[in-house]
Amino acid sequence: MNQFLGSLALLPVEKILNAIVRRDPHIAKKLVAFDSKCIEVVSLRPDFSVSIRFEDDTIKLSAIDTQTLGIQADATITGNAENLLSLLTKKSDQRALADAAIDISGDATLVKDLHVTIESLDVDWQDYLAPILGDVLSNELGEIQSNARDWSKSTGTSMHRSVRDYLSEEARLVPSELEVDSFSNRLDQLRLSIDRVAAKTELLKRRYSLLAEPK
Amino acid sequence: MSNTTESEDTTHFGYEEVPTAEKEQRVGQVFRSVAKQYDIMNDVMSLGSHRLIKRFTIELSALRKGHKVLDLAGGTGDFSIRFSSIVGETGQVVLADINEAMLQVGRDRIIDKGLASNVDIAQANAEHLPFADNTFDCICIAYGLRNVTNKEAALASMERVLKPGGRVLVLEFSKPTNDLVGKAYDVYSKLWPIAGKAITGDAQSYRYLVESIRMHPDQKSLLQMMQDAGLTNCKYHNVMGGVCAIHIGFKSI
Repeated sequence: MNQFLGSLALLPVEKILNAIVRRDPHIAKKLVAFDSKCIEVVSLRPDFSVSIRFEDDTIKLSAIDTQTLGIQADATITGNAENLLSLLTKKSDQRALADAAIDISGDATLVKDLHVTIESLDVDWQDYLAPILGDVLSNELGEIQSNARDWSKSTGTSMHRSVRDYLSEEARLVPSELEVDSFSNRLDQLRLSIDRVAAKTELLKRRYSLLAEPK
Repeated sequence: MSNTTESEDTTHFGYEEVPTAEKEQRVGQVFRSVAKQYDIMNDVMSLGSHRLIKRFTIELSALRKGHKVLDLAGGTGDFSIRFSSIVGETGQVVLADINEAMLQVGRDRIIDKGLASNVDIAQANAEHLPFADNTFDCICIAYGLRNVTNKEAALASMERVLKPGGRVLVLEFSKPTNDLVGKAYDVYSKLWPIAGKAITGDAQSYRYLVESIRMHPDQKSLLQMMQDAGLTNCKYHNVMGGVCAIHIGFKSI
């Protein structure tokens, strides 16, 4: 990818991130741990790389490779753009960094710490948009965002339940949760019974061999 | 490749063939004429895009705190102002230009911004840089090389004052890589003398600008010139389809 265009695309992202860091001392405090560190994110498909540097309470994003920048990345994350993006959405306790499609070289702890930090950020977008859009509009947007989040959460839960009910109750393609539990219980009972029969058989074999031995 | 062509005594001044000794003086007149409106005209001619290109060039400079940087043909100090905050108090920026009128505008801007503590001003000819060998971590010449009479001498002089491992950045107009972009750019650049007349009252200087861009070596020729000057790992980045190009070269360690 053309590095000039990449640099242009990253410009607004960098500005927004630094505006957030400047306005929120809590976030700035968390980023102190990453001072002077550099993480390079290399996408194989599409082909581009982004270096993330933390310098003097600011985040610097660059589409120029670290070799041209004359710096050594502390860690490099390599993968397809799709896998790299999913890193941002996965929770750190879901073993997101252990994804086989993503290769991490260098200081893996640094990547893990940054992942945990990003996950723990609670950005109040309304607060950042207010000086640009005004209080009324940013409040409205905040309401819309909040409603959209609630709607997507309830819709997601409802859809999950409906699909589950359809597959198990209507189409009978998969067993219901109760049937699976009952089947598991019976399976456990059967396993225990088999174990008991096996133990009894073993005991009888030993007795038979003792009786069969010549006196 | 040399910018002095055909005859040993003449060189290009735009499309004109002039005695070599005269070019410096005539380029000086051009920049004296446009110095005060130079930044406004840059915005008009590039539709503001020069700011983004400069930002990208600064990214490529890879400057750090404590570095020494030479802003060659730096004129109105656009780069020096940005470099100043990057290299910090422990670093040094030298704003150099052969033209006293451009330098005066740059010096005033730097003083007005309170950046004089780590920015020095020097009137210097790029062909004979008045600095010790191995002085700078980075040398940046933006939209200046095409006005230099002897480009080979200027590149060799830059290589001399550069520290081993240091880099030279040459930002310059170049040859569009796409025919359509090239044609659109040709048409658009014909408007520059008209804009120059309206804003600075001087169409001639901007006619020279358009002509000097056409006469400037293309990407590959300039790359070869940098290699011939002793710079290593030379490469270039085309910007806006090759309308501009940023060449980078390193001094070997």
